[in-house]
Amino acid sequence: MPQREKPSKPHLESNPGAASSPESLLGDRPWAESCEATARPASAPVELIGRLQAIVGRENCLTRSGELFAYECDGLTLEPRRPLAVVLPETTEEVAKVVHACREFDIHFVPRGAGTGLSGGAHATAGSVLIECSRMTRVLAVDAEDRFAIVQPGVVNAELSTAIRHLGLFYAPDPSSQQACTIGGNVAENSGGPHTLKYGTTTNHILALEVVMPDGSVQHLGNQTGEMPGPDLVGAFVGSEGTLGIVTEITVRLTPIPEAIETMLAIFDDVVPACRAVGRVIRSGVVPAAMEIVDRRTIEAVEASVYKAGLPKDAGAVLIVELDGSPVCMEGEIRTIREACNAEGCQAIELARDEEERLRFWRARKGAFGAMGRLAPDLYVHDAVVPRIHLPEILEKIGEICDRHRLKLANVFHAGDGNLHPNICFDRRDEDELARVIQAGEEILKACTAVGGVITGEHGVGVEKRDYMHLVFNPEDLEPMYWLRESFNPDGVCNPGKLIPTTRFCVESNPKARGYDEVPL
Amino acid sequence: MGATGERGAAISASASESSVEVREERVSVPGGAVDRVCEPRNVGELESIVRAAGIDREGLLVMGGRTRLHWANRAQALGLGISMSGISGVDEFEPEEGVLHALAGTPVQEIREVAAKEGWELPLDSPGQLSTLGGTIASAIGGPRAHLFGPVKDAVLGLEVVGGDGVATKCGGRVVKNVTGYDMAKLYCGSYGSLAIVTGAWLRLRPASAKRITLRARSSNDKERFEAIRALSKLTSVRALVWSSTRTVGKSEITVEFGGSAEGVEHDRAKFNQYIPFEEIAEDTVDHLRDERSRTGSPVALRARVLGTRCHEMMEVVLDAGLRVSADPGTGTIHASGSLPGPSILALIRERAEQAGGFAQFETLPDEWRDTLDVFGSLGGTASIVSTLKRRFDPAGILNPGRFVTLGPSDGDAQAALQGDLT
Repeated sequence: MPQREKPSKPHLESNPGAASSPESLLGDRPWAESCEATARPASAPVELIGRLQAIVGRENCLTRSGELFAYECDGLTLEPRRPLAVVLPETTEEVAKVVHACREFDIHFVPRGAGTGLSGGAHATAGSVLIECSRMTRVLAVDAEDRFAIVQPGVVNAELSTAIRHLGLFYAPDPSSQQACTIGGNVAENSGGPHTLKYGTTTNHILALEVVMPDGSVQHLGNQTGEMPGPDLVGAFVGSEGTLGIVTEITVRLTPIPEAIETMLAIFDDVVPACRAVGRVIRSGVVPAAMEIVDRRTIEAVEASVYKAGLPKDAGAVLIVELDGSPVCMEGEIRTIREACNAEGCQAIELARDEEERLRFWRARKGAFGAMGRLAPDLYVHDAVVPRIHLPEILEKIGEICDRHRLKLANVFHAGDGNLHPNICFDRRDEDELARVIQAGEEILKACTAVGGVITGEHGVGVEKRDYMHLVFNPEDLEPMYWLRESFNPDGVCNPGKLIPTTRFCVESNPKARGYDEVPL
Repeated sequence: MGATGERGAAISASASESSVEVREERVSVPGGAVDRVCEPRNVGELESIVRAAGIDREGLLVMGGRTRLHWANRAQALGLGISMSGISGVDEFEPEEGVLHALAGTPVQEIREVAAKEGWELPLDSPGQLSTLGGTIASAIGGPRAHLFGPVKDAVLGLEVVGGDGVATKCGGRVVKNVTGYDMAKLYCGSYGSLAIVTGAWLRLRPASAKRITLRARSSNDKERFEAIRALSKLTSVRALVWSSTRTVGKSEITVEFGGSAEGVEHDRAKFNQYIPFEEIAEDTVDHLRDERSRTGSPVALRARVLGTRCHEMMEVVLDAGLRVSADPGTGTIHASGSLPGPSILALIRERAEQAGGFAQFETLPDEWRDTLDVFGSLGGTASIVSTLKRRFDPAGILNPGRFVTLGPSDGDAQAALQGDLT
C-alpha cells in the first residue's frame, strides 16, 4: 500500500479558550487534528470581527456573550462550545466573503441551519465563526412542470411544502423537526423522517447544489435532471454534515401530493408483536408511506400531556400505518394491513375517518418527544438502525440494558425502516445517572451493530457518535472518507472535528481520549 | 514503466505467489489493449493484484460482463485485464428483510432470478444476460424501468471495493436507512471503476408486482401527443414507458409496462386507453427494447438526459440527425443510434442536451472521433474536485486510466495535475 503523505501540522497552537490542551491528550501524533485548536495571531478576533461586520452588517454579526450563548450547541445540548462570532449572511456572495475572511485570519468556521440537529454537527468549535444560514430564506424558483424548486438553505422544510401546495406538489422528506429545521440543514444531515419508508431520505430529493467551498470559491454540483457525467458529487455531499463546504442554493425534487391518504392505528399488548406485524406488511408487497411504533411508556407520557391522542393507557404499543397513492388501491392495501395486524393478535385497529382523526393518530407519534419532557428534565434521543427482522429481539435487549442501568426508557421509532429511537429520560445534574446514560447508550449501539445494524439512521454522526464509528467501520474503511473530506476541505478549516474520528488511528477504542471532552458521550 | 525495472514484475510475482491465473488473452478497447487477463477468485487475490499493479504502474482494465468495454474514452497505459467473473454469487439473502448481498461478478440476471423466487424484484434494469452487478454499479447503467426504480445508486445499500491502493474497504451497510459516515457508495456508483473496483454490494429489493401487463400503441410524433402520454406516465402503476421512433417510418411506437395491484393496473390501463387505443402484448417486451439499446450494431449510439419538458424537443433534434430513437419520456432519457457523417453533429446534440438542462454521452462512436469528443461529457467547474478525488483514491493512476471522465483543455490546472500524477 502506498504510504500516505502526512498532512502538515494543522492548527495545533494552543487556544486560550480551550478547556484542555489538545496536544497533551493527542500524544505523539503531530498530524492529529483538533477541533479546539486554532492558530491565529492575538489581534485576529478584533480585526476579523470588523471584517465580518463589514461583510454582513453590524446587526448580522453577533459577538456579545449573551448573543453567543444561544449558539453554543445544536439539539445535542451536551458539550456546548462558544464561538468567536456568529454571522448571518443572506447571499452566496456574503458566505463566500465570510469564508475568505476566516481563512485570512486562520479561523475555523462552522455552517449551521436552524440548529435542530441531534448529533452536534452544528456545534461550534471554540474560537470559530459560526455561519448561520437561517436568513437565507428565499425560494428562488419553482418549476411545477419539471417538478423542482431552487431554494436558499435557510428555507424551513415545512414552509417549502406549504408554499407549493397550491401546485399539487410537496417536498417529501419530513424530519420530526420539519416545522423548524431548514433544507440546508437537511442536506447536511441527509435527514429522514416518518415517510422515508416510501419516499427515501433527503439524498433522494436533491438534484443540484451551489456550494461555497472551504477555500471560498463557489462550485455548482449536479443539474436539474439529477444526473451528471462523472462521480456523483451531489450524492457524496448530501449527509456530509457541513464538513465539505457550505450549501448556498439547493435544487430539490418536488413530489405530487398523493390522491388518497389513509391512516390506520393498531393497538397491541406489547411492542414485539407490533414489530412482527411490520414484518408481515413488508413481506406482503404493500409499501406504506410510513410505519411507526410508539411503546407503552411513550403512550403514558403522551396521554398525560397536551398531545393527548385518546389512546388506551393500558396499550403495550401502538402501530401507525399510513398508506398513500391511487384511491383505487386503498381498499386492498387496507385489507392487507388489517390481516397483518390481526395475525399478530392486535387488540384493535382503527382507520382514520377524516383528517381530524388522522392528525389525532399522528399526535401520538409527533407529540412523543415533547410529552417526554414530563418524565425527566433531560432526554437523550438515540438513533440507530437494525435489520427489521431483528427489531423484536433488539427492543428486548435495549429494555434489558436500561433496566440494568436503572434508566427510564421510552421507544418511538420508524419501524418500517428498522430505525430505532430509544429515548432515555434522565437528569444531567445527577452525575451518576449521566454516566449510566452514556454507558447504556454505548451498549445500545453495540447491540445494534452486533446484529448488522448501524449507529445512526438519520441524526448523523456529528460529535456525538464520531468515536463510535469503529463499531461499524475499521480504520481501512475510514481512510476513503478522509480522502473525500480532504478533496473538498484539504486543510480541515470547515467544520472540523465532526463525522469521522479526528485522529486516524488511535482513539477509536477510547472515546474519552478525544482531547476536548468536558462531558464524554 | 515499472518501478522495479522489468515490466509487470510485481504482478508476475504476486500472481505466482497467490497462484492467480494470468492468461494470455487480448482484449481491445478504445485507445489500447491488454494481452494478459487475470481472474482473481476472491477479494484477497484482487487486493494482491492491484497492489502489485501499483508497484508496476500497470494500468488495469477491469471487466465485468464485457458488455460496455467500448463505452469509454481512449485508454492510457493499460497493462493487465482483470476479469471479475471469479468473484461471483449471491452469498446472502434475507427474504424477510428484502435485502441481499451479491459479489461483483454475479450476472444481474442471476440476482433477479434469486430474488424472484421469494417474491422480490431487483430494482436494477441493466441490459442483457451478461451484465454483472459490478459493471452495472460502476457504469450506473439503467434501463426503461428506471422510471420506477430510480437510478442504480438508489438500489445500493452498501458496497465493498478495492481501492487503487489495493486495500479492500466497505461503506454503507445492509440496512435501508443509514447516515453513518460519508455516503461513499454514491461516489463509487457511476465512477466507472476509476476510483475503486467494486467487489460486492448489499442491495435493497422491491416487492414483486402482483399483476403486470404490457401495452403497445402506434402514434404520431407530435408534441401534443407526446406530452399527453408523458403526463399519463406519472400514473402510479406505470413501470416503464418507451417511445420508439424514426423519421423514415414517421409513426412512433409507444410501449407501456404496468405493475401493481390488479385494481391499480386496470385503472391506469383504462386511462391510457381513453386517450388512444392500446393493445396488450408480450409481458417481457420492455426487456427486449432495453436489450436492443445495447446491441444496436450501429457506428453511433448515444444517451441523452434532459428535463422532461424538453424531452420531445431533444428527440426531434436527434431524429433530425437521422438517428433511431428509443426514449423514456418519464425520465427525460433518450437513447439513439445509427450512422452520422461526422462528429460535429454529436457535438451539436451535446450542446442542445446541455441547453435542455442535461447532458449527452456517446456509448458507441468511431474510434477516430474520440480525438475530438469526450465520451462522457464535460465536468465543468468540478474538474478540479474530480481530479483531486482521482489522485487520492488512485494515487498510482492504475484504475481504468484515461477511460472515464477526462479533463478537457479548458480544465487547465486540473488536467496538468492529473496528467502529472499519471505519468
